[in-house]
Amino acid sequence: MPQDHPDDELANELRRRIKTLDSMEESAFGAFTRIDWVILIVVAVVLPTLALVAAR
Amino acid sequence: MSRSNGGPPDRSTGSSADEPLSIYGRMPLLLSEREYGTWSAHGTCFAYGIATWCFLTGGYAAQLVGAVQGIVCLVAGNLIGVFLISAPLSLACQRYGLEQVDCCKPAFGQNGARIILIFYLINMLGWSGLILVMFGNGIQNIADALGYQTGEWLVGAGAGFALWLSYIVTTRGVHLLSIFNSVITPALIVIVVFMFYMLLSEHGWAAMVAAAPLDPYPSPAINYAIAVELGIASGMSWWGGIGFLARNTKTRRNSIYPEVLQLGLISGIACSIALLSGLVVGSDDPTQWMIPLGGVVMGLIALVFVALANVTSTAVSMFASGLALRHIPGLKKSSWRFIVVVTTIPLVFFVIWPRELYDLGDAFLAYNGTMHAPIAGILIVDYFFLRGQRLNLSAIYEAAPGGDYYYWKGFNMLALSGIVIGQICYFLLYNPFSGATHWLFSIVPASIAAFLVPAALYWIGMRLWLTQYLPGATGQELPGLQTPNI
Repeated sequence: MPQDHPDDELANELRRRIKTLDSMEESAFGAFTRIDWVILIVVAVVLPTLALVAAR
Repeated sequence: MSRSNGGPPDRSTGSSADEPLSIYGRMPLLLSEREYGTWSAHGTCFAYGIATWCFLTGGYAAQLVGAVQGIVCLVAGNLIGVFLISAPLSLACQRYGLEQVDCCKPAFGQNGARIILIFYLINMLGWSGLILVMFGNGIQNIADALGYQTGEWLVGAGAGFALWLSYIVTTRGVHLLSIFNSVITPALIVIVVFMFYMLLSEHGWAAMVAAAPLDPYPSPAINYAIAVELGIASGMSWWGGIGFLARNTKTRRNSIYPEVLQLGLISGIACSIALLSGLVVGSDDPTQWMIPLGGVVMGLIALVFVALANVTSTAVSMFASGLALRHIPGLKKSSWRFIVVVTTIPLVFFVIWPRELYDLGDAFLAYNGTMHAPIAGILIVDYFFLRGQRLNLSAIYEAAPGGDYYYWKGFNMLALSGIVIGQICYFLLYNPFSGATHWLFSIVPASIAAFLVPAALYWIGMRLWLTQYLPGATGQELPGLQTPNI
């Protein structure tokens, strides 16, 4: 049986990984809800902006 | 980051013989291969966030503003900057296990992403050069404290010595880097806490608040605006590490909360302690703070650890830069040692002209805003508003012409011109090299303008002219992966 060229092995491995990741349910990667966005935007945008305006 | 960034890649994959090929190369990481849970993600970001470049940033801010304004600028600016760059990269790299430059391909094109690579390298190696000189300054200050008469040559020689040490660490890979970091990172945390304790106990809050900025411009409004800019640019400087951290996390929340809280908030606090040290001691050179704050013995010990921390930080940057260089076709199969040598070439200039380049450090920090703000704006629009957080993984790794992200000869000229427009916006408002400012600069930070304008133009252009490259368009999609680019 002919042995795969190393680049072919890499290509096959890449295809396998893409197929695996594409076929996974979104929930497998953890939740990220609107509440998370609100928390992040308040902590990282709104409050810092208010602080910058206040300290001007 | 350093712990996970290590490992001498030896082949086209960048993988070492006993490590999974995806971790040190560009293969998308599967969930089962990812290292970071909640605590490890926070811990890694925390360790990465308290780095010696925080000292530099705090020192630069101390030139312009006092304690209260400086703390607000550094903490708030860091938070805003980190959030803007990490929102699209974190969630995309986490969902698809992507390396950072690959994650830029949907917006910038297969070949266009390599241009982003140039900014990435400028960022990583520029910071490395500055902290190499900081190492040289530390050597000179140690010699001075011990009573030796030294000249400026020692700074360059020290930077060269640090570069050699960094090369050794980087070529030896993850194990040596991990050993270094397991000692240096806790020591650096102790030094920052010790500095703050000494500031409070020896000088008091009132003295810190009363301390005048070291070398301000005549206009307080301009000083404040530039300090805001330094804060935001400091946050955006983390761009190079975001993707690597995120792709190693298992959940979406762990991909972004640790980055915002540790690289944004904690790093901003570390910068602020550096700012206070600079104001109290009256110098923007971090290596001149330790002995006045801690006395000769403690100061010398702290200086030695800060100098060693500079080596590990440089090694981490050289490592990340080396991995990024694997995107360049001619270097894909080069030996790891050769690639590390390539990363040292631009750093040699910091050995030859240490003082001249070190004095440009504040301009370089601000320049990070011009590089990363437009990229952040375009990536946010592309990932969230145009693609609805769905990427075509096969198209990202497709080298053949055609495909969803090929655009014109592999370049999305709209996105790339957005970077140029963003930089023009930035320089119209604030030129970090000449110090020239527009009256709008005291109202709108230059990096925010450089973020918003390209983002808006990119959204309009993609909606009006490049709709064939948006999800749901037909005629461009290739049937599966034809020519893998790995």
